Amino acid sequence: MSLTVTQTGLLDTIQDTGRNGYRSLGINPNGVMDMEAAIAANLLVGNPIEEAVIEMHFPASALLVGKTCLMAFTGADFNAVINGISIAAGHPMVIAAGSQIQFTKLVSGSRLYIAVQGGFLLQPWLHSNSTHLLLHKGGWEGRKLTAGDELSFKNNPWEHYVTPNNGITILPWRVPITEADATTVVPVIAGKEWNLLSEADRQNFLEKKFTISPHSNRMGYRITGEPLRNNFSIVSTAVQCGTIQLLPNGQMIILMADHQTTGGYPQIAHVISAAISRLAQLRPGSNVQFKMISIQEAEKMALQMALTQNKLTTACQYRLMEWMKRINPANVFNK
Amino acid sequence: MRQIPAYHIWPSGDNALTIDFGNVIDPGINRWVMVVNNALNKNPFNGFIETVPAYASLTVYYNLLQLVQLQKGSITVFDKIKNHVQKIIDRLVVNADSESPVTLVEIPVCYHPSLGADIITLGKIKNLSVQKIIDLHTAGRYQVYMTGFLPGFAYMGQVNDAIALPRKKTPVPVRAGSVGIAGRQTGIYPLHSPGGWHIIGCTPIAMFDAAAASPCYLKPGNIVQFKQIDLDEFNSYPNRLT
Repeated sequence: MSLTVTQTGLLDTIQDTGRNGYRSLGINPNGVMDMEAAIAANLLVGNPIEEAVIEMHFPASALLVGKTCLMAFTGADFNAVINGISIAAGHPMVIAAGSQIQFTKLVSGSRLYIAVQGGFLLQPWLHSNSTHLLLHKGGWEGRKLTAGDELSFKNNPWEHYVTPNNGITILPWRVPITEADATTVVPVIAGKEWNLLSEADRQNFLEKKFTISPHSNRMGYRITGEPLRNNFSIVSTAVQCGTIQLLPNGQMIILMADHQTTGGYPQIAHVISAAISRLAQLRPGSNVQFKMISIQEAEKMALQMALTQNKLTTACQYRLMEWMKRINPANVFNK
Repeated sequence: MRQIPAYHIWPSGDNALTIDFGNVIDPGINRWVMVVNNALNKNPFNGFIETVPAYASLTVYYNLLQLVQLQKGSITVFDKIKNHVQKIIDRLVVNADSESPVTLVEIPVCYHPSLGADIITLGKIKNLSVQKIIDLHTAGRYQVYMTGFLPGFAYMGQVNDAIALPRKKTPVPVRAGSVGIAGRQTGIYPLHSPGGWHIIGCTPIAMFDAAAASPCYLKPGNIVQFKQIDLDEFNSYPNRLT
């Protein structure tokens, strides 16, 4: 087999950029929490950005590499140890068959992504490889990875590549890894029910710090702090990743990747697209401070994010191509 | 259905917008949501992802990262999509009689108390016989306002006031196929789940089938009529959900 799970992690699932087109039936997109990191992992190994990756939480699974492959870890830093050697995250690397991968320490961030060149062999459900945990569909048998699972790579081009004795060739370029701030400023735009809040509550929302509660997961982040007054009765409407709902007890929830498609709580604000990845890497106990911006500013930040991604795509393609030329692929790759 | 009701368009985050017809549950308003939904899906714009109809709103999702790179001048992507949506709605006003195509779906329900114990409680509270509740529930034609909460959970209405009852305070475990009432709404649980609706029966039809190309039996805009079946018919129903 290409990759075997030798020890079960907390919640390691197969995800991609999401399952679109079924929200109106109540089937939400799921997908990676940190889109930027997952995309970077794919780009580092020369994959299209939609390729399925493994999303890991700490403590993460331990893995045995069955076939030599080009792999990358991005997002959180869980101090990856391969064959006993601590590896700096964010690089593409060739890992030899027989290598053991362990994640030994939660250094920074919350979610780590593993991409392998060519991708994993999976059976898509409704055109996506994202895991729908509630329905037990998609991804790997619709569930989190557990010890004994044997994933296959779609192809095996590195079979004859010879790595150094330690089994790893680390390619000399990298993407940045998530680092933590004491308080993360989260830019939001106003939601439909923003104006129903009292002046004092709006001020509290923007000036007070809030804390991500331990009761946070892929469905949503519960945010605790100064409660806001909620005596509004709202008929259900569609929601999405980033929507900040005001709960009846005055606390808030930020909906994340596995959220339900509709909700009947007031939508006071929405975290902007460009800020979701940063949010996805925050841990329970982290402080956030919301900052109200205009839709113009949100779109400007989205443009910046798109341009950064374009640059990263070009840079990764170029670096990988140049490196492949140097190692003389004729001697390395299967025909 | 002649004049489109007043609406407002909000950003629903920076990559979606919501056409909002107000804070109401009303079959007439919801029909307008379906009319606009059909029109938008027939005229998708560049970067369109999908729509989600709800009671009195329609949310349109779009690919912001793609659109923002194509955007020229000072107008925002949001305003551009909003203008597009408004144009489509304006054209609808001209053809105010255009209605969304309606699909009538008949759903067999067994109202035996072993499958829907709350029918007894409902009868006591409302001073109605069990058969009277069944007659009232099967007499109506219910519009699927929206799906949500669970994949394939269809919110339908409106039931006769005589059998309307506010939802339970505390949810209890509910089996897949359970037919419930909450307020003037009726719905079917597609999966085993905690549920706060009063369960009056159960359908043998799978409301959610992951193996199907279209996994949900009911879609927003469908019109549903329930048909009473007995326990034997329920138990012998082909491909019954267990």
